[in-house]
Amino acid sequence: MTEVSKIKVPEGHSLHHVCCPHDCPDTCSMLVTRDDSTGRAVRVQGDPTHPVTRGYLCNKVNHYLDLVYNDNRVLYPHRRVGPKGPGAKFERIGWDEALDLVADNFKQVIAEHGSEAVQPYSYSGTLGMLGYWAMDQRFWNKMEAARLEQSICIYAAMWAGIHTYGVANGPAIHDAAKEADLIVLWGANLVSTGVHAIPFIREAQERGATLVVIDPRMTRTTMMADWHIQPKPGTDAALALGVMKIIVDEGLHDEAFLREQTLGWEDFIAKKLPEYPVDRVSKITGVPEADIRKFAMMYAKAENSFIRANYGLNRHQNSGQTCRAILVMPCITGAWRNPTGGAAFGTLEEMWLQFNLPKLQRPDLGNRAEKRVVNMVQIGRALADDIGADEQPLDPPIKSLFVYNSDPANCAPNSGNVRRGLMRDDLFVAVHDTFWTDTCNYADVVLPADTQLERMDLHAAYGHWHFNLNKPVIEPLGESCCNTDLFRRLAQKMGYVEEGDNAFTQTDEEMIRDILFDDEVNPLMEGVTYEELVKNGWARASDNSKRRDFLRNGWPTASKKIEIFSQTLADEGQDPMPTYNPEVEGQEDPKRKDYPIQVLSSAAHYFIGDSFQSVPRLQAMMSRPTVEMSVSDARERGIEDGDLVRLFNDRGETYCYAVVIDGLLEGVCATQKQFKGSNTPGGINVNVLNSEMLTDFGMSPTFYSCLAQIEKADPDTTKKARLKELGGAEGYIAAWRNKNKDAEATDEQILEHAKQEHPGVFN
Amino acid sequence: MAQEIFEGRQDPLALPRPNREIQTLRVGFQEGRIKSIRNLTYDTYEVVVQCDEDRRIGEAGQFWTLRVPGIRKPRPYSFARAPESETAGEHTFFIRLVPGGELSDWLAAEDRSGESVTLSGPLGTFGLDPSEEDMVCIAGGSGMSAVFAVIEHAANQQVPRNCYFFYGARTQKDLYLEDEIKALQERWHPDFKLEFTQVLNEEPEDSDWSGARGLVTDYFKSEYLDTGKLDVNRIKAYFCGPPPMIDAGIAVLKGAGLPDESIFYDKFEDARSPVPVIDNAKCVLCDECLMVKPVENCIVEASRLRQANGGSAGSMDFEKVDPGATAGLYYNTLYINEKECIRCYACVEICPAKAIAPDFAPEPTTLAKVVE
Repeated sequence: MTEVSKIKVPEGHSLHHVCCPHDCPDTCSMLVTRDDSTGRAVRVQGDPTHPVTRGYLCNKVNHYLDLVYNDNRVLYPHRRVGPKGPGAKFERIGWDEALDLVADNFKQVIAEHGSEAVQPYSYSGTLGMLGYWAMDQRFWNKMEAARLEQSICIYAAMWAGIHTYGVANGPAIHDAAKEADLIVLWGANLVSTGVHAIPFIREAQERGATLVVIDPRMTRTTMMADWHIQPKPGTDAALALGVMKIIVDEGLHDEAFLREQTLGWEDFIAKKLPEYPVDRVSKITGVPEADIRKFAMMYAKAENSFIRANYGLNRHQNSGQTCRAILVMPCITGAWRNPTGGAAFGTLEEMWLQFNLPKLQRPDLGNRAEKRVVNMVQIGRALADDIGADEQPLDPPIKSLFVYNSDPANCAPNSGNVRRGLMRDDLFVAVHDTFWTDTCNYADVVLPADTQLERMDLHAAYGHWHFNLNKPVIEPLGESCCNTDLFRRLAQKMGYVEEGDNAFTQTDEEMIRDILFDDEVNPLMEGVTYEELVKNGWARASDNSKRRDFLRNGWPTASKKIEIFSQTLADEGQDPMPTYNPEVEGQEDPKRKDYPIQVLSSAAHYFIGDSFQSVPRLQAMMSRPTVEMSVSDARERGIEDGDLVRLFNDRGETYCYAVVIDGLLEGVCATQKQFKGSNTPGGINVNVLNSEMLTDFGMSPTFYSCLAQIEKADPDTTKKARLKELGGAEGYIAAWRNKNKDAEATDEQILEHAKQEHPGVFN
Repeated sequence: MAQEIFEGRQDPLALPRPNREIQTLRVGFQEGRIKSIRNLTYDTYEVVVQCDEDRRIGEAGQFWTLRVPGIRKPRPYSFARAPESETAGEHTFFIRLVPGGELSDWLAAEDRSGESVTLSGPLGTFGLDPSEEDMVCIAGGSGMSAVFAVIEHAANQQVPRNCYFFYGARTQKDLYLEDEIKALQERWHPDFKLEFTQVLNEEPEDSDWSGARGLVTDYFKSEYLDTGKLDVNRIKAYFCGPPPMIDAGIAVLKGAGLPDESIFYDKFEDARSPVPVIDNAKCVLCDECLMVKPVENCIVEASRLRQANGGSAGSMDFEKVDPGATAGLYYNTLYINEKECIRCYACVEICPAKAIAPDFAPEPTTLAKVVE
């Protein structure tokens, strides 16, 4: 590629293709410069040849080197000395000793309680096909460990899509925006959570396309919308159904499309939609009737419309149905006729589920499919109350927890319960992580994980149609090791390596070459070669494969049609048609009498979930957890902008600093998901407030179905929190001396200054 | 639960705390000293900087910023030679004296050989495109530097392209570098040609000048486009020099039908040029601009913007983000500090959201409006 080869690096340096491994739809192609004399990576930049990355990175990954070379990294295996919990102490040990500690525990637990008492726990710390679900799965399959339902993020939306379209995705927004005259971002704050779509959308707007953003919050993305619609949270299904009813009533629906391509459309139009007259929908959603009509007309009359929904929508208790209601909208207008039209959360199902997973994960190594399942959303009650995914008691209880790619102490819901569970004396916990996460506080053994610059992996984007190959640029720092290596080593210790079976001896490259490039199984791999990926770092998936011409070939569902009526859902006792059910712990829940504020915990601009919170610049830009409040909710509680406030309900309490947002809906507040508990006043983040309840279908978490009350924090707490932020007297004095290098002052004089500058904090 | 956390951690090993400084860097810095200075014309010097390290990075067409002792702000200067043609560790610049310019005055005051210099960069996106279409290069003033570097690079690469180079100046005494360009003509790709035309617009009518006269862009239009000598569909244009010349040149070529993507330019802004402004409604806070800032505080993280007291209309004041206590993106904006900006426009070029431009109104828009 001419453009990349045009990027010159200094003498003695080399340029490398790297793929951003983080949980984001953009899956960027990065170029990393290495100083070959020191072996250090010295520069990270966006790949100008990648059609989505287009030469720039986001505010997180622009600071990737500060994540790689970071004081907070776990570089060596450690063993806890002393009690577990916040403040736990560790000592460095060797790898061999660490692996023995883990393997001996596994062997003992299996001998005493059976293999089901070993619980793996992992999620999206890396999204590489190897790091996310390869050698680790082989290991657990061989062990026949308990299974984990990895449903903590996207499952409700994913199952809504699969129940409607099968494993079939709409276009990527980057392609759709090039043609669309109407772009709807539904619950999608892409400025913060997928920034590479923004220039495409801007270009569309400059061309005359309309951008509608549907979001109860005010965000940087709603600021750029031509029109911002603010439904009450959890009522989106009613809005979608109401819009479809208006379109049908006006005779603007595409009946030919419905007839040819969909199942159950007659009943949907005749029986379901009439339940959603505009006055009722307006009452449910809080959106004025005229606006609902206007949006319906705009959507119906668009020549080429595309809806990009995002996963915040699937964190409500009623979200399976909500996602389905939104996803069927393009069937009503026939927007699917256009190759860049339709509706999508992304490309995840096709990009991820069509790999040859049995070959990658080797379920044949054991009989794990019949072992018990714990839903990762409910790890709190599984650990603290011994309750499994099927509501049955876990017998034996979880005796050994192996955590990697995840920080459950901060990321799982009902985190007070999670931490109570992690504190159990009879529970062995091992953590493999790049950083000292809060979960490490509860670990018996902490193992050092690497970063993306230190390993090999194959990546499949979930927001567009590209694959990336990542090859290591630098040697692993300290004694850190990648996931595949970790499980190869553990397999050795467990005696799982068998002659004649390469399950635990395959190299990373062999796994990628043999298994992932299987275009008989995966139509998106047609024509994609390993060599092309090595050369360019990325390759476009064959999304134009004839095998995925769904309009012509039929859809990958039982009926070969788009299933507006889903027999599978009916069999599960769900409404087989997209419907609106008031959310439990939502806007219509009577519990609002006691807990009137619905707490949304959305993605922060400066972090990707739990990741990047140790990067100094990003932490400096967002050093406090905040809660967005409406003007009236704040005023009613005597809360002013910048006040420390206490959010609480029956499950717990957390503290945030109030940000009063003019225009935010009353009865709604929004804070950041997965803010590091140890950086939160009070030590625990917003997940202490939400429950382990699951979504209507899809087994997803209900992070946003969370009612709470807010009050101004008491002065003592405010003082302590502020003192902690300033680093105490010691920290203040050090910072003052650093800032006023030439000034001469005694500690007492500086403290006197501190008392004046921060009244009520230092005295 | 709350209590134990407020007390803080005892053992630093248990969970080391990251430091809370704001830091960011993609631009490289290097130290060097002035090796030689020679007069190219009465008002333009060639300055060669010898650096301690051999870091021949960057592309012909890009620029470094130069900072010299006693001068508050660095100034951006294009490479005046293709980096691959430089002697190890050396960087050549053409510096034209600008009346009242800080660095100009410093340079003109006495012999500055041996003085120490700090370079930062390389920056900018101007440079040779990979096509094989004919090159039309138009330069004025010290814009000679970037165009000469690009042409030298093209000669080094033996690109199979014709190149028409027009240099606009006022009078004969503004002309320079003829010998070096002649040398490039001699080693240009043998099947193609490098044509060099000097165009003077203020040369006295009665002088001995027998060459082209008029504004360089007008000359190019009447002699090359209007006559059909060159086909706008088969050329790439490179402009470098004072902004009015570039604007005129772009207007001529676009008027003749040359598409935007075939025009490359580097406007030589100076201290009188407008400060670029970040439009906060367009900015996506991706930090790309911070990655290319050549001086420490030209772009700052601001927590509050407000109208400056007593300043000119539109002039703003800001409070810097407090790294210990920030509320995220609600107030935080990136803000270009007029006092520190060196008008290199690297941020304008790099911004993927097209949120930075000199003609945006500075609006203190943020997500959160503080309620009185």
